[in-house]
Amino acid sequence: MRERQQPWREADAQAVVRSLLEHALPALGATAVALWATGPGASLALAGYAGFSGEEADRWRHVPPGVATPAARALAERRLIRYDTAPKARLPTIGARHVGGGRVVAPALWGGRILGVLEIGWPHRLPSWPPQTERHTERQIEALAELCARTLDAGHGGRAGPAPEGVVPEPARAELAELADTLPDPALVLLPRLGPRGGLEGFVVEHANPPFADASGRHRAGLEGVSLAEAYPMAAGLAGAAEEVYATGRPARLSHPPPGPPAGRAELAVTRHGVRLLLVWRARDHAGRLPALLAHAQRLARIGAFEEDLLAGEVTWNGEMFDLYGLGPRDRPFPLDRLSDHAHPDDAPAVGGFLRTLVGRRRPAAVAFRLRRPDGAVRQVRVVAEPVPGAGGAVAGVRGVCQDVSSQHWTEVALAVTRDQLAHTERHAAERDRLALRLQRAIMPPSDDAMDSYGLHVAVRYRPAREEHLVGGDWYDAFALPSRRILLVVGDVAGHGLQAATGMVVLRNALRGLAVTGAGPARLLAWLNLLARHQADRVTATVVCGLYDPRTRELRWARAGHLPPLLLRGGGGRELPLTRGAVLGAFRDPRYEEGRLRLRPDDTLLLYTDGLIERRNGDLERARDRLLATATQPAGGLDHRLDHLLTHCGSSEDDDTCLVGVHLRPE
Amino acid sequence: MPLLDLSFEQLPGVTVIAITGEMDATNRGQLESYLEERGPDLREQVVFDLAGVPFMDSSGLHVLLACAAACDERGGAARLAAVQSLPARLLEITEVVAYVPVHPTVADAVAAASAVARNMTARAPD
Repeated sequence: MRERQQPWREADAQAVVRSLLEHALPALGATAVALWATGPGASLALAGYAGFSGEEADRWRHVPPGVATPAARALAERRLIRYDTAPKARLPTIGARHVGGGRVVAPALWGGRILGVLEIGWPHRLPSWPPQTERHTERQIEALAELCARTLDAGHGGRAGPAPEGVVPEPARAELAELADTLPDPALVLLPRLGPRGGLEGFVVEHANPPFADASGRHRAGLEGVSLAEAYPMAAGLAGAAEEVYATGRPARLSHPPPGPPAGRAELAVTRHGVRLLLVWRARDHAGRLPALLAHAQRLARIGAFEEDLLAGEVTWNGEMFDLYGLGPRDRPFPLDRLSDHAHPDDAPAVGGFLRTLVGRRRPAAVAFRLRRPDGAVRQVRVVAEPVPGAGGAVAGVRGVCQDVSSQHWTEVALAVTRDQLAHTERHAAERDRLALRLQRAIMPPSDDAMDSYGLHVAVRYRPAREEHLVGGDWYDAFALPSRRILLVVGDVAGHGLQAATGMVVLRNALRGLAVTGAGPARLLAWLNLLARHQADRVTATVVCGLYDPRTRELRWARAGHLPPLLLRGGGGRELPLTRGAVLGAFRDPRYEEGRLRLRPDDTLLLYTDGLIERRNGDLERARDRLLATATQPAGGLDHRLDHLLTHCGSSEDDDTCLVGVHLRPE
Repeated sequence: MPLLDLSFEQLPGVTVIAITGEMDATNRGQLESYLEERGPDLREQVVFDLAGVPFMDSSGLHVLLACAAACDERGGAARLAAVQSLPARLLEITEVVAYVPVHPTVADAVAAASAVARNMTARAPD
C-alpha cells in the first residue's frame, strides 16, 4: 500500500541495484543490496533490492518514521556506517536471517539532499581491510550510493540530475509563497543553489513574507534573490540548519537562532517542501540571543556555540559543537560542569579553575584543554564563556563559544620545536632558511597549478628574514573560490615569532572562509578588521586582497594599510591607486574602498610585502621606482621575473618578503 | 640589538613620551615594557614625540596603535608629533593619519592635548 506516487521509476531503481549486485559487489565480497528512498518525515521505502528474497522485500516495503534501522541511522547521522557483524536485534533490517553477516549503509546524496540510503549485505563478517583500502572502499560505496541517488532523483521533473545553477521546476513556488504570506510570523522561502557538478552551494532567498523585517531593518524587497550567505554572513547556524534540513528532510527547531534575521524572535522552525525550505521565526518572551560578536566569531572560524540555562537545567548547542565533541546530532549535549569528564586528566585543574571563575566569581573566563572524544581522538580546544546575569545578581546561565585550535596549536608546537632546534645548534644559515621556509610552506601550500586552467599563471615566492631565524607574519594566498573567482592575498602581521605566525594563520584561514560567502574585497577586509580587533592579543596587520573573475577579466581589489599592487602592462608598469583602507586591528569602523580594473591578456599583477623595498635608507618613492624598473625588465616568464625581483630588490636581510605574481595568458 | 632612547614627561593631564631610535621588531618589547612600567594615564592625553625616529616598521606601529586603542577605550587619546618623512609615509599608507591626530611639532600636540585636558577637567564633577 502506497500513500502516493513515488518520484522515481521503479524499473530504473531495480535495474541499478541488479547491476550493482552483478558488477560492483562481487569485488567486495557482498551478496545482497537494497536501495531505500526517503519519504515524508524521514520514512523509508524500498525502491530496489537484489540478493534478498521477494518475501522479505514485501515485508520491508515501507519503514515508517521513527523506526530504528541501520538505514534510518545512516539517514539521521548523514554518514556511512559499517556493521562488522549482523546488526543487533534492536536494529532490524531486511533479510537479516538469510544474509546474516556484516552490513554497510551509506546515504545516497545528490544535489545536497539525501534521497535514499544504499544498504549492502555480506553473508559473513565484514572483511577487515587495511586502513588504506578501507578508506578507498568506503569512497567507492559512497560513489555507488550517489549513483543510486541519481536514479531516485530522475523522477523529479524527469531531469537526469540536479538542475544547473539553481534552475528548478515551478509548481511549488507560488503555493509555498502563499502559505508564507498567510503566517503572522516572519518567514522566508529559500531555494537551493546547486553548483555545476550537483553539489549544494548555498541558498537564495526566494520569498520573504510581509511580516519579515530583519535586524538591520531590511524588508522583503531588499532580500529576494539574495544569497543567504551574503544576506546574513554572520549567521552560521542558520546556513547549517538549512543544509541539514535540506539534506535529510527532517524538520528542525532552533531554540536559539542566530541574530541578524528577525530580531527578538527566539525560535526558528525549518521545514523542507519539495526542494524548497520554509523558515519561520517565532517570538518567545525570554529572548536569549547570543551576542552579535559571538555569532560573528562563529561564522569566521566555524566555532561551536553553547548556552546553558542553569535554572532550568537546559543545554543548547549549535551543530558545530556536536561536531567538535565528536557527537551525533541525536546525542544529548552535556552541561559545563561535566566538562572535566571529557578533558585530559592533566587538564582537569585548568578546567576546574575556568568553572570557578565563570560560575563562582561570575566573570568571563577562557580555558584551553585537550578534549578526549568518544571516537578516541584528542583535540586541543579553547572555550570562552561568560555568565548570563539573572534576577538579583545571580547567575542565570552561561553562554560561550568553543573552537578547535588543534591546527593552530600544532603550528605553534612546530614553531616552538624549530626555534629550540635553532637555539641549540649552530647550523649553517642556509639550513635555517630552509627550516623557516619549510614551516612557512607547511602553513601556506604552494599555489595551485590548476590556476592555469583559468587563463592565469600564478606564482608565489617567500623569503624568510635572515636576522630573526624565525618565520614572520607574512602570508600569501591564491585560491579558486566556488564562484570560480580567484582570491589573491598578500598580508603582513606585525612582529615575528609565534604570535605573528599564529595571527597570520587565523587571518589567512578566516579570509578564505569569508571569501566563500561571495562578498566583495572591501567587505571582506571590514570583517577581517573585526576579527583582528577581537583576537585575544589584538593583531595589527596589513593586507591587500583581490578577487579576479576570469570570465570578465575584472579585478576587484581592496587594501588595508598595505601597499597597492603593481600592474605591468606592455613593457611599462605602475602602482595601482592608494585607495581608502586602514591597517587591520586598530580602528573601530574604518572604511574600505574597492578598486576595479579590467586586466588585459599578457598583463602581470604583483602583490608584495614591504620586504621587497629598501626601506631604511632613502625615500620610499625612489625605492618603489627602482622596484618598478626591475619588475619591468624583460624576463623569460613569470617565475624568472619573481626570482629576478627577489635577487635585486629589497633589504633581504631584515624582513621576510612575500611576493605573488599573476600573469594573464597572452592572446 | 639597537635599543631605543625613551623619556617621559608629565604635564597636567598630558603625558609626553619621547622616542629616539629606529622602531622595529628588535626593540618592540623594550617599548612595550617601558609603556607598561611608566604607565601613562590612559584616561588622559598621551603625546608621542617622534622627532628622533628616522624609521618605523609595522612592529613599532603596532605598539603605538595598541596604546592609542587603550587610550580610546578609557576616554583618553594618543597623538603623534614631529614625525619624520619615512614614518610619515608609513602612517599614510596604513591610513593611521585618518584616525590618530598627527601634529607637526610637539608644542602643537601638547597645546591641542592640554586644551582637551582642560575641557575634561572643567566638565568633571570633582
